[in-house]
Amino acid sequence: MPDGKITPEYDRVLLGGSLPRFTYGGNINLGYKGLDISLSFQGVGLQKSRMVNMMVKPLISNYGNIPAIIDGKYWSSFKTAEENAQAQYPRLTNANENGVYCLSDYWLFNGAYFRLKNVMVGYTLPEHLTNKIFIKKLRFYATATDLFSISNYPKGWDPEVGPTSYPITTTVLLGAEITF
Amino acid sequence: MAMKFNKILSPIIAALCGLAAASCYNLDLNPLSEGSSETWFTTEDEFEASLKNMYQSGMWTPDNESWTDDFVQRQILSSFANATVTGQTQDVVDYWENKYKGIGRANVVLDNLQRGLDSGIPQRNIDKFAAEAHFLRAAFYSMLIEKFGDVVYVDHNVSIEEAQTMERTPKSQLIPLVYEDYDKAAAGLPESTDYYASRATKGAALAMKARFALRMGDWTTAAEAAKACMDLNVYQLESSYEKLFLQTTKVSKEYILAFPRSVELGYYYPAWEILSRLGSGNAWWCPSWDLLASYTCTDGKPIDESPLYDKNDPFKNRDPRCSLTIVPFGSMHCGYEYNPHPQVLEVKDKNGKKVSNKDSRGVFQYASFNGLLWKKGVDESWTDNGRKAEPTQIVIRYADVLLMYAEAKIELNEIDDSVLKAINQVRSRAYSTTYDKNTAYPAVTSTNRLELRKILRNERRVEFANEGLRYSDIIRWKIASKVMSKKNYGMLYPASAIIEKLIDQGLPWFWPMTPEIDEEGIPDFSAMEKKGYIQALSTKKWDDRQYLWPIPSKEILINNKLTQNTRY
Repeated sequence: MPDGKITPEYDRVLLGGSLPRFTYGGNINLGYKGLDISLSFQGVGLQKSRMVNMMVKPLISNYGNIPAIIDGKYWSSFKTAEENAQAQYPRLTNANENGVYCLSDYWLFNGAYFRLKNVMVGYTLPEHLTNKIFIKKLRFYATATDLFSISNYPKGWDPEVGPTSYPITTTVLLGAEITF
Repeated sequence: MAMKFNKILSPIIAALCGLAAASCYNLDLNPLSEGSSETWFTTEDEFEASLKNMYQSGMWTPDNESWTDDFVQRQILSSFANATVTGQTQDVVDYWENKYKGIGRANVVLDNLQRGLDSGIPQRNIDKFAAEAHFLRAAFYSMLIEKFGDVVYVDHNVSIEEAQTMERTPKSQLIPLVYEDYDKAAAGLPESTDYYASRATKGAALAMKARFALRMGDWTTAAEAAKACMDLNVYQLESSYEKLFLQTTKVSKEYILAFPRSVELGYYYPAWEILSRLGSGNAWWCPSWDLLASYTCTDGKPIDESPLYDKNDPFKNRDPRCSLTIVPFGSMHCGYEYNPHPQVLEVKDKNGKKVSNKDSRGVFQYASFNGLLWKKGVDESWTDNGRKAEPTQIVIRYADVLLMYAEAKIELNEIDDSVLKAINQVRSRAYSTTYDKNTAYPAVTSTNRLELRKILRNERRVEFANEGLRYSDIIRWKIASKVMSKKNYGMLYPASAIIEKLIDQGLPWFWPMTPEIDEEGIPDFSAMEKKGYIQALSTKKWDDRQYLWPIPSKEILINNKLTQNTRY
């Protein structure tokens, strides 16, 4: 609407939805002689995600910390014009946070990720060796859950976990399976 | 052959008969074990349930102190204090939605009065229900008009299609309609109910009408309605100011409309936001220095004029409401001594045991940034229940009616003894005495209109601090442009700066200079700031368009016949 000013009533454009466009997952099982490997993975192929305030705004409520990703990369009146042209993050402000951090396509990025959910590597000792000590089967294995995920999220942020929840932890289990 | 014929035919005939029979039954039935809109409003319980529903907390949220100059929260500013309110601001969106929800429900009650009569409910009860619905509708429209100006007027249940073509009606046409609703309410409601002040009464209708009229600048109606409420002789001031706000006070002769809170039922006040750090609170919703400076001394004079004011003890010789609203330095609060002095590293708890003083910024950086904490209503029981408190939510009380009466008469220039009596009743109560004992408190005697206006406005500020009334006051007096453009001040940080610049120089650590109070009663701290004695925590900003709120953007997107308020 040509009224000469930018207002939320008339000048906003729909940017799309925030749900994942497609998700995928799979299992791979391999075996060779005594070795067995199984993998399971999942991920999202395409999703519009937003850099939320907590990722980019320093000193929220005089209480929050300063995100490492903005260090040196924000517009500052102490920098030269060329340095500011390289800035990736806006100037630091509390008073104008509604203007600077409001939802716009500047803060959107592709939230697609690939997560290696489960890896299990196991080795079964050859039967003729274990039979000698009256063990039918001896298998050693290592399992890792949530080993890593690859995404565009800033370092330290988990694609599946919101900004205020505890991050997903990687667990590694080592074990032995003995059948007498 | 005939038998075979029957075997085929009889089931067919049976089926046809069944079908015919079924078509005689109306299958469009109402459920027998639940309410439904076709059968609701046929019993008194159903009317009562619908009316009680309109007292829900979302429809009656008090105006937030963070929108005013009485409040400081570290260096944070609300969008109202920052001139960044837009049609997407959540408070604005929720306000519009909740009030219209209430109006819609009040309209539904009024639309169904006939159905109630037809179901056998006696006329006198229907009249009471109607009066209450009129009261609620008037209250919700008052709140909308005060904030948004011209709003959409709906007086019956509308369909979605109809709603999408409605436009905003000018305020001047709506005001008489609201008065009409309040008048019908006052005529039909009883003077008291079994619900004390938590449900509408005649007095509540008159008091709320006076409030609305006053905020619309209609002094005559305001004075009339306030006087009618006073003449009911139902309400009187609570003799103890402190008692009004304690969480144990659920009932008072001063409450006109007041909703009890309940931790058990889930409606509570988040006390952790205001309690001291030693009391396990966040100490970050704090009263401002402007508010502390507003309390007069016991001689009735402002602190920059009174010889009784003591720079080394700003709480001494002040209006008693000062120490009941803001925690005095050195007093016991939440079980510990409260002392924000930067060099006091240890304080005693109520048993005399010494603890590290986390309420001083010399010890802990998240102590109150300006040294002040809200005291109003707070006692040690506020640290119980996970720091959830249940102080009664006071919508309007008798002291407000008295001061509204006085304000309206002052603006009409009809100043007489009744006006002074009204102000003095409120003031003397603060001094724990009665208005006639005018040596026991600084009685107001001036009859000069401008002088009285200043006294009355300051009286409102100190009487109703933290009760959600300051916002409407600064809006209707049009002083928001001035007070909401000033800076919020606090002590220097770190503590070494206070020690070096003030204590070592022999100056008082808190307010080394007394702030100047101007002719409008507004304190000024800039002299101290220039000397580097204090720091500005944040700079409030005001845009005159904010005297009215923006219509929520999504409403305009849905119905483009609605126009936005100017300059949004």
